[in-house]
Amino acid sequence: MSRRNRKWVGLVALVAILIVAGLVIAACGSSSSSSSSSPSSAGTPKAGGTYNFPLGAEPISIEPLNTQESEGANVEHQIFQGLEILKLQPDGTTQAVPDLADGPPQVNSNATVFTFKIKQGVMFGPPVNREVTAQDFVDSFNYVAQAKNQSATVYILAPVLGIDAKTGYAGKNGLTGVKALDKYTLQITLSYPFADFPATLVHPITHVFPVDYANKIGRKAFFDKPVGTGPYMVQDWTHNQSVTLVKNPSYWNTSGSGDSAKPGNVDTINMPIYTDTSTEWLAFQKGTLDYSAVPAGNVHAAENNANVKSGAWTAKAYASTAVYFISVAMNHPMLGGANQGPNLPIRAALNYAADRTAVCNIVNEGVTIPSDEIVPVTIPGYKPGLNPYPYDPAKAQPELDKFTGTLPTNIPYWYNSGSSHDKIAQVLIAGWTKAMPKLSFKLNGIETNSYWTQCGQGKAPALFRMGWIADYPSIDNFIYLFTTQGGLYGSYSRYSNPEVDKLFKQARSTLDQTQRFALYNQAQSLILADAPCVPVYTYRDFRVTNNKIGGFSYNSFGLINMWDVWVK
Amino acid sequence: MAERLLEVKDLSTQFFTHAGIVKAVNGVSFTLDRNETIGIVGESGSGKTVAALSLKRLLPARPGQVVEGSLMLGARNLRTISDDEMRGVRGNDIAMIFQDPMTSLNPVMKIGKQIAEAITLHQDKSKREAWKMAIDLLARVGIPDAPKRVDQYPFEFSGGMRQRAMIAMAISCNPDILIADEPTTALDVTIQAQIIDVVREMQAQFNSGVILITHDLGVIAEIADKVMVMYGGRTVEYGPVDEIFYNAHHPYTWGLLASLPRLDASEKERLTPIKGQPPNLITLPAGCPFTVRCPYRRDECRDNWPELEIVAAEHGVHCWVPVDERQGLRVELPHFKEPVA
Amino acid sequence: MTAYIIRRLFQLVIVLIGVTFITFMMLKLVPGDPAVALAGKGATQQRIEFVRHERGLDRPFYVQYYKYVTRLLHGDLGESLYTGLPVRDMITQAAPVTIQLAVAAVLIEMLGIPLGVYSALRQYSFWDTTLTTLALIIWGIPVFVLGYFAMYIFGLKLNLLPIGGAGLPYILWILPSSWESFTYLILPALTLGIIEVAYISYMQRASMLEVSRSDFIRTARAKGLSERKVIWGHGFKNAVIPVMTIAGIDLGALIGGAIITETVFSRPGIGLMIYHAIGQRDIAVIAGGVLFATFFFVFANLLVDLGYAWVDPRVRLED
Ligand SMILES: Nc1ncnc2c1ncn2[C@@H]1O[C@H](COP(=O)(O)OP(=O)(O)O)[C@@H](O)[C@H]1O
Ligand SMILES: [Mg+2]
Repeated sequence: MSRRNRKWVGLVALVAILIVAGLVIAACGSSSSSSSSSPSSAGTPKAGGTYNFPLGAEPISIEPLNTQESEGANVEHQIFQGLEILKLQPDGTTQAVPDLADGPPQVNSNATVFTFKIKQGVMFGPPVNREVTAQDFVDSFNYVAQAKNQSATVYILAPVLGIDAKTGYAGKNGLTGVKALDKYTLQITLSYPFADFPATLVHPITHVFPVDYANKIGRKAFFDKPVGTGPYMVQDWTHNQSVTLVKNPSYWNTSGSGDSAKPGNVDTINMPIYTDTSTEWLAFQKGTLDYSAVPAGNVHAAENNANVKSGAWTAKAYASTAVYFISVAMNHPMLGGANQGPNLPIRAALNYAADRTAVCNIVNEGVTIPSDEIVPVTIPGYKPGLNPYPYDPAKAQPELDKFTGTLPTNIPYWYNSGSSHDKIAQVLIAGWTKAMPKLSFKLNGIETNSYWTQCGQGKAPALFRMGWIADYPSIDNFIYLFTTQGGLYGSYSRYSNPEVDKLFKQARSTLDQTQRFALYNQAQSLILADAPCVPVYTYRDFRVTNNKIGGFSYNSFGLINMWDVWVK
Repeated sequence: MAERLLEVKDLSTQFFTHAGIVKAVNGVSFTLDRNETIGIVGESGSGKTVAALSLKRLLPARPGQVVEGSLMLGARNLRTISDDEMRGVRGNDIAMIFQDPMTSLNPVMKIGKQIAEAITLHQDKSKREAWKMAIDLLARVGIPDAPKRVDQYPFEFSGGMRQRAMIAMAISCNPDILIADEPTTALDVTIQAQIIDVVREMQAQFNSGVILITHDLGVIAEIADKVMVMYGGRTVEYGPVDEIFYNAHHPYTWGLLASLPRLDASEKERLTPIKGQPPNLITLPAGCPFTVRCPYRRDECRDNWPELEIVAAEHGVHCWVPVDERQGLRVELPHFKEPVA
Repeated sequence: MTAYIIRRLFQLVIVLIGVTFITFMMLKLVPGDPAVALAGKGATQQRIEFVRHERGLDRPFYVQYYKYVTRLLHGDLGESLYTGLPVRDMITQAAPVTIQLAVAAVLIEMLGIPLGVYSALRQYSFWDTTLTTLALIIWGIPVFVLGYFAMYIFGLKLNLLPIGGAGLPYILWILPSSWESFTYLILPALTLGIIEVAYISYMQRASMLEVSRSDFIRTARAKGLSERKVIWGHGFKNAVIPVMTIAGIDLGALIGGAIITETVFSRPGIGLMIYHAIGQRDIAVIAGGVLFATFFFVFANLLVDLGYAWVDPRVRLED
């Protein structure tokens, strides 16, 4: 009897361990993302060979419908194309340039109708081998926007006419805003002005794929082996183990003209899945991989590695479009309330005394870039010096003295546990309490999934850690966070300023880029003056690459144009 | 003259432990002839088992060691033969039955296998033959339904049955010498007599010499030819069984006899245990170990071991109390007014 | 015996249902919401509600559970919320990876038995002291530390074995299909196994020492059996019984330990599957994984019980 009892206890323990261990490990999983770089090119590209590129996790999807994290995106990027493509600029920013679109679109005066010419002779890869027409775009957009296909990235299409604002999916009549005017002309009508709309067309969900073929072979088959127009195609996806891409033998851009992908150099792209960065890094050192992330705590060691010193490998941090900031719960009275209300001095003081450099150096091994703004340096339109409360700890206490009420104590500071958010909080708090000894904070680490759920519901009482990564190269992405809508669903700060909303709307209808950037930044200045957040840094991705591979580049979205890489 | 099977001379066995050297057996000598039964008596801890294990080289390997003496099995000295030879002796010449039948059999091996195993090893018999012999032996030691029982495991046997099985195992190779170490102590009173009977029958059948270890003088009276009385690892007195019962010379032997249950005694009087504690074997005095508990001790007892004194034929004693005094003392003991048996 | 097995299997069904209940309960108790992730970044509350309703996530927990069990009884484990893949397929793919590792680790673990016996026979000798100390040290090392260390030495420095991966495909369900496929198994199996070897040898040593002091061993020696026969014929079988129980419970526990091992070695097994699913609150996948682990655990225990009855006649399965 006792043995039997013990066994049941063991079983319950097993189930509990499985779930708790999962939660704990999940809480430790880290996520960061993307940036900009210079192609490492020396010598003439050679054809043939294999490029070994690790994926940090099983992709959720590698087709336009549902590609979301960087793993899936880097696979999808080689297989699919859309109207626009990301291009790394000499100034380090990444911009959208025409890909399958034949030049920039025609735009109406209030930025609601975009008419694209589509390149002729673009072909779907095998086994479809058919030319792409404007109708294919119409079909693709309609497919991904349908509620029944359950895309999680459909929000990118939000501006398009026909999207139901409530559900985020296409309404009853489908995507009425997307029309093929003729075989090579596509017209997209928006339900509200959005001058930067073409930038959204770099996103996977806007990529074109043969809907008739997908319907023919079925959802599951297409999920496993999707077909696009890109220079590579899926040979095999052994789930959880690896994705193998091979050159598309009938790739359309044989001349390699324009900014569209050139025909690939390497025959095979081997993408094994390494679920643990330390393991990936070991495999790279062994020579199994041509590219690797580096586990936390190993950045300096990697920089000083003998192979890096000798030039056999390159170790480098690539700036991404992700920002890290501490949101303030404007809906809670502790630090929130009216934008220019009684709590503003506290929020401003927190900005003055936030030791961003210490965070970047002590916690992030110098990989991240200190920043006191909402927009990262890699985004076109970025303008420095907009924060009226830049780092200056001496000004913090005098600023705080302007606060007339009872100083809050044990200010709750929430973060999602895992990664190094706890350490970042400790460094920030050390700076704050040094400059303002009367302040005190209370840390609360919460498992990631519940963390976002609760923040989304507005439950965080004062300070909470926030990150944001651009979906497409537009400043709009970031200013949106502090519009009334973005305050609810983006930054979760519940910040709202009618002035900001007005400027934001105005910017969206402004066709002239210089004027538009000016309006967005005017909005940003207003936001920063209200201090609904404490910006901390812009992310960079630290990567080590093997120099036996030529043609490597890494854009600020973490995407690699693998058709350019070649084996020396 | 009877065939001499075993001659033990000056056997001393010690345990080298962290606490000190345990002098478990100190200069014990005795002989055993064919068809003879020697009883070794003494209270618990007096070194009886250790003496027996010394003969079979079964002392726990690390601490236990025979430090002195010669153990002659016929012409062979058991102290000096090789381990290989010793295994032969264990299987063929000296068999042993242990005190606790509940733990002395392997719980996960069939009774038959445990018996047959020794047979195949020491006799030129096939497995099948050995199995048959095992059935036969079980029947001989009085286990009913032996052909079925042979296939069972120890846990299916009662205590008495297990001891019978142990005996069957011991006699399987027709040993010259059978050592029975308190074979009945752990058993029911009603079973005890049966087991003693079996031992006796087996001895008669195989003409063995039997060393019967016990602290029960009643058993000795029943089957022993001669008796050795041990105390504190020493032989304090030995002699033919009648001599020990009717003409004991050592105060310790008297004490033992006094503790014998008597038929006419009332419940209260029945047992008269010797007062005092058994000696500490690490700090044993050079003299008589019984000194502290002896009512007749005198000055010389503690530090000097008395020479052997032959008081009758084959009857010796080690004691400082003068012989004539002993006679007087012994007669005063109530016990000896009406001898047992 | 057959009746016993049938009864145990019947019990298993009830256990499995109970376990899914616990799983559903636990996930209900932990805050977090798959609808948020499913709705995508920056989704409005309305959109989240819509997605939640569409996916049936707004239904009360007992309704969700009832639906799940109903499907389960028809052999349907549901689909992943994120990929739409049938959980059954996911498990079919992941299970061999996990079982291969668990079985290999248990086989390695068995080395602990002779090592423990050896130690016990030469108690306090140089080798005994060395082995025992080593066992205690290894036993104290976390799996992931040992795993990285092993990969560093054998994968990187000595360049003998691959780093990470499962060596798919397999033949006959769990057997490596080639030497190369086999090389992927070596490090994780050794890492997981050696810790258990340490544990088992330690237990086996203690058990063997205890048995070697027992009366029946003395009896066996008294019969004149050779030392070898005494040790292996009489001592071993008795000493291995308590160790077997541990090994059996271990086989189940190995599945739990698989979460860490599979992450470290990038082996796409059940552990990894559950780990990802928990982060995403992908309930059907979690429940499926837990079901599998439970099944394996109960099955391993059944095997141990059968083995028990085989080794120890005092155990009767009908009890
Ligand atoms: N393994 C051992 N280690 C140390 N001392 C022992 C050991 N076995 C027996 N002895 C000592 O030997 C003495 C005699 O024991 P034993 O021969 O078993 O007595 P008995 O006359 O009851 O059979 C005991 O009192 C004990 O102190
Ligand atoms: Mg004894």
